[in-house]
Parts: sequence; structure tokens; C-alpha cells
Amino acid sequence: MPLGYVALVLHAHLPYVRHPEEEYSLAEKWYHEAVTETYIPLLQMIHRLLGDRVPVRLTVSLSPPLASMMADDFMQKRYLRYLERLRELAAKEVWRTRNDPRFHLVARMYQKKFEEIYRTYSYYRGNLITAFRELQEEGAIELITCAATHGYLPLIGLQREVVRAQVEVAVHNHLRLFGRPPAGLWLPECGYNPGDDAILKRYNIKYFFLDAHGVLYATPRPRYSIFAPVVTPSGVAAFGRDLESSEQVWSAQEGYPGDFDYREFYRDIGYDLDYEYIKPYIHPSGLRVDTGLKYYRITGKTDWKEPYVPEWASEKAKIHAGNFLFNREHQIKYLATYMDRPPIVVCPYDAELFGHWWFEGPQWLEFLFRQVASLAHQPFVFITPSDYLERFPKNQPATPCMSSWGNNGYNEVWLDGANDWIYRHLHNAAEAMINLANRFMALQDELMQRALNQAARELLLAQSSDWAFIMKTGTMVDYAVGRTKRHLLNFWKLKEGIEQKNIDKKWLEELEEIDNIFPDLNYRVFASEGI
Amino acid sequence: MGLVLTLILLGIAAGILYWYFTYKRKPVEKKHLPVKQATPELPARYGKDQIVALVKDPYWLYVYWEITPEKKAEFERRYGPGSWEASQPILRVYDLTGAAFDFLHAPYFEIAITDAADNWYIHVGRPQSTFCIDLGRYHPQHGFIVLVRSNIVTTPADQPSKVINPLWPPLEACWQGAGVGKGPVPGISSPILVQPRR
Repeated sequence: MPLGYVALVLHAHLPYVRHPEEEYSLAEKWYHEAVTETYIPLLQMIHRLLGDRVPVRLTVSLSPPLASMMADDFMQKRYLRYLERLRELAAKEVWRTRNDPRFHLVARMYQKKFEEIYRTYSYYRGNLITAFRELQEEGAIELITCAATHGYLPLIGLQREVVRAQVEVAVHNHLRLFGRPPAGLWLPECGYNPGDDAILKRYNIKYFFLDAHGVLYATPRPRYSIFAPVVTPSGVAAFGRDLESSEQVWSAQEGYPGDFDYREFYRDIGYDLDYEYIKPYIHPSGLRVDTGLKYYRITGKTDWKEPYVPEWASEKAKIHAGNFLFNREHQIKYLATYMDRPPIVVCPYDAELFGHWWFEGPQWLEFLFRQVASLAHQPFVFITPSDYLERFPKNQPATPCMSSWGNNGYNEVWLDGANDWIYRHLHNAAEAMINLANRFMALQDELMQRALNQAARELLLAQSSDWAFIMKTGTMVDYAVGRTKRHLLNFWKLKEGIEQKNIDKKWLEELEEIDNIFPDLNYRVFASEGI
Repeated sequence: MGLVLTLILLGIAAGILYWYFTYKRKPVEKKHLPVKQATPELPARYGKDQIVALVKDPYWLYVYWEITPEKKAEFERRYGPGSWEASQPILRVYDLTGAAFDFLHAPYFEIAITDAADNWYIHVGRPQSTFCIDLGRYHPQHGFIVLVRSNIVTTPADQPSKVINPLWPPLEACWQGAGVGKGPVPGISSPILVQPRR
């Protein structure tokens, strides 16, 4: 038996930002950037490792809105258009910097990177679902799901029906896209409310994750603190996040991503270069935006930035991977001396941290897997929670504490002066939806069913935790407010049509085309039956 | 004659090719979907007498409420014309910890609010405690009159539990270095892609 286990968990999520009605959408750009900088580089990294027979075991949570965008034909085409323009820009940059070796090198790096991304994307014919599914089949990753639209359950879950709908739709969507029921579920923002686990249990979810204090403050006090899961009253296991390893990777100041040799995120040619030159690659209105081509390294705590040197950054990623390995090895060695079973150290991260915020993140992960594999003495083994629960089926019963991984650990990020007004509307709409589902349980009429399904879709989209989060952070607030209002207003209008049995078919069709998430959604998920 | 025919055929072929490539180079057609109109506002009222409590953290609750004109009229019918204006809106916060529905004996405190408010942050300052909030009015003659009662909420813990399961006694080594005492790590939150530029 190994001395201990490390569970690396990447949670990948973006809100549903599909905008066919707009020629250029800043929100859609989040998706394009994340595909280019995070999702495809992670896939490539895992393929390189598998190619070299390095064992990979990684848990990846793909939120239903993200997976739905990956599977969507329109989003696939839009991304291709984005990538083609990016390749064009990179080629121009290679030419522009031809006489400046410092930047030329970096421009070449981007060009190569984008060409490889293009190749990967074309190989999968634009469908990244296939790519993730393939890695799941190979046993490299364990794919888990999240709540349907990443709803923040402790606050939207006033009615049990809402939590159940968020879970059921997610599990169903996951099965449809990935061909297997998910073993685990990533609670959006690790937001846990005691009792929600009973709903997870009904959908055969075996585990979820909590921030450290969610487990540390569980009742009774857990024997192994966060180094073994606890079992909730309903029988679902809760794994707690390890704080030490979290901070090393997360923190922009003390953590690895702040190293001076790493790429500076905030210097982008979209802002730096001559307007006329860069104009075709920024917002059509002329608003300067990030292009993804960033030529500087962090350099230091100064505004003066030096050019990025890819080899130096790679070298640092390697050193940092070694440091992480060293720390985990010592942590595990220490814990193992006292524990009567091998400890598990759970390291969950937002996937978008790797590649998007921390450009070298995917390299760091790759080095980490390679270095662990190269050691003869096996300091620890990478594991998924499913594997762990199979090996250690008996765990301590305890009720975790209401918690999240947001600032200060509870609900305040999603409930404060900037966003508290939404809950009145979300709760009232949810109640109306539940009443509709109960009332029209046995409905046969096809058009009415479609209207009810669309009402459920609009409500789910309004429940996305991202809108509250964006309102709180203060950037693109109008967008978040607009989305919340639009989906809720659509919901109320649909409800009116349903109750009056007078449905505007043309308008319904338009809605079905724009807000097309969960194509086989059944509004009855909101019914109270069995709650 | 043959030459002219060849030229025509070539022309047609070139036309087809030209059409094919222009068409092909436009991979994403802009869809002509309805342009968004200015967003109308959400309903200001839902026509329902209600008060809803949410937990913010171990020490704070949030409540929002709605009182319908019908409720107000009923109040006036019962307690006399002008009784609404003569009374003062109050939030009564029951601490139901340990005795779930015993409103008679539960300790409570009151917050005087204003008629203009429709939501409030309540400082309860008590982790792991159970609360229920009544929205009512204090009338000089009739005393406290309840209008609506909230759902019951429980604040989370802010420290490790004192309850120990003898079958699973805590291991000191596991608790050292697990970050206990530091409390939740501040500032860790989803760095989604929309974070502001510095």
C-alpha cells in the first residue's frame, strides 16, 4: 500500500454565454479564451503524458453549461472563427517582430501554440466532448458533474425542488454527453447546505468536495481532519480541500503563479500596440480587449516589465512542481506516521487558473506528473475520490458545516448589497415553476410542453451563480444584471402564456434557439413529487 | 464554335468555384435573430405576503419580505382605521436553538425597522443556532401583531465541533497543520475570467 494519496481536482466552468444574436460578444470571448488557454492545453498535456506512458489520474469537473457549449454546433463554429483570427494575428506578429529577437521568440512561441491548438481542435472536429470522453475511457481522468447551471445551492435552494432540479438535470446531461453517470458532483463554489447531500444520494452521487472548514467544523469532530473523507447522514462522502497545497497554487502573491519569470497577464498587445494595427483583433467598436498575446514576464513588483523568456518560465514550472512534490511528500510522510490508514490530500482548483491566469499552469501539472512517475520510492499515488472510496469504504459519519470556498468561507460573496436583490425574484420564480410542474404533470399538448420546458430552461439559466458573482466583482455588471432579468422575464411571460393556454409559437421558437441549453429537458424535474 | 463553348463552360466552372469558395469562407453566418430590446423591469411585487430568511455567515442573516395591500387593509379592518400608520414595523427574531418550534418559550430580540424597507441584514452573532423571524407591527394598544413568519434557518459553525465520537477519536497530528484556528482562508474565490483588469 502506498504511503498516501493526492487527489488533484480541476473544476472547469463558465456560464452559458452563447450569443447567436450578436456578431461579437465579450462574454463569448471568455469561452474562446478558456478553450485556447486552458481546456485544449490540458488535453494536450494529458496526451503527451500518456504518450510517454506516464500514469495520469486526475478528477475533472465539467459544469453542464460548459459541456453544453462544447457540444454546441454554433459555439464550435464561432470558436473556429476566433482561432483563425488568432492564428492570423500570431503570423502578423511573427513578421512584425522579425527584427527584435526578444519579442520574436515569444511571438513564435504563440504561433506554434495556436497552430497546435488548431490541430487538436481539428482532430476532434471541434467537439471537445469527444476529447474528454476519450480520456475518461483511457482511465486518465474521472469526469464528474456540477449543478445544472452552477446555481449556488445554499441560497437558491429555498425550495428542495430547486436543488433536486439542479442535480437531476446535471446528472442527466452528463450521462447524455459522456455516456456514463457521474460518480461525483462538484457543488458550485463548494457551496454546501446540510441536507443537500440527501438529494445527491438519490442520483447515485458518491462524493462531493468542501472547503477545509466545511469538514473541519463537521459534527462530530472528524478523526483525520481533512485527510480522509467523512460520510454525510445520507451516505455520500465529503472530501475537504487541503489548505496548504491550495495556497501554494492559488495565491497570486505567495503562490507559484506570482513568480517573476512567469508571464505577466496584464500586458497584452490588445492594449499595447498601435490602434490601427491591432484594430481588426479587438472589439469591433474599437474597445481594446485582451488578444491573448502577452509578451512580458512579471519581472517584479513594478510597472516596468521585461520580455518573457519561455525557457526560464519552463524551468520555474519545473522547480515549482518539484517543490509541490517535496511538500506533499513530507506532509504525507508525517501524517502517515500517525494515521492508521494512508492520508489523502485533496487539491481542488478552478481549471481556468491553469493556462488562463497562470500561463505556465499546464506545464507545472505536466512536470508534476512526470516527476512523481520518475521517482523509484513512490512518495504518494495520484488517486480519484472514487478509487479512494473503493479502497476505503468505511469512513467516519459526520455532518459537514454549511460552507463555501468563497471569500470568508460562507455565503457572503453571493449575498451582499450588490446582489441580494436577485433572491426575491429567483425564489418567487422557482415557486411559480414548481406550481406549474405540479399542475401540468399529466399534460399531453406538445406546444404547452415545449413552453413549460423553456420556462424551466429560463429559470435554470437565471439561477447561475455567476450572475451574483459578477455583480459582486463589479466588472460587466450590466451583463449579469441583464441576463438575470432577461431569463426571469422570459420565464414570467412563458408562464402567462401557459396559464392562458395562449402560447406565442414564433417567440417560443426564437427562445428555444437562443437559450438552447439542455435540449431534452423535461419541466417535470421541478415537480414536488417525491420531495 | 468549339472555342466559344469551351470558354462558356470554363466561365461556368469558374463561377461555381468562386461561389463555392466565397460561401465556404464564411463559416459562421450571423443569425438574424431578434435584436434585444431594452430590458423591462422585473415585478416589484409578487402579490404574496411573505418573509424569507437566508443565512449569510455564522453571525448574520438576511431577510426580504413583501406585504400586500390586502394584508394592510385586513390589518386596518381588524385594529381600526389608521392603525397601520399608528403602528411601527418590527422584526422579531426568535432563537429556536434546541427547541425547534417552541415559539412560546424561545428567547427573541426585536429590531425596529421602517416602512420603506423591504429587506434587512440581521446581526444574530450566534453560530450553530436556529432562528425564525416574524415581521409584525407594534401597536400602542394591541402590542406586537404578527404579519408574516419566515422559514427557519440555522447558522453554520465557526469552529471545530466539541462533539467527539468515541469510535473516531480525533488524531492530534491530523489537526495540526490542517489550517485549524486560521479559519477560512480569506480571498480565495473563483477567479473566473471576468475579474477586473488591474
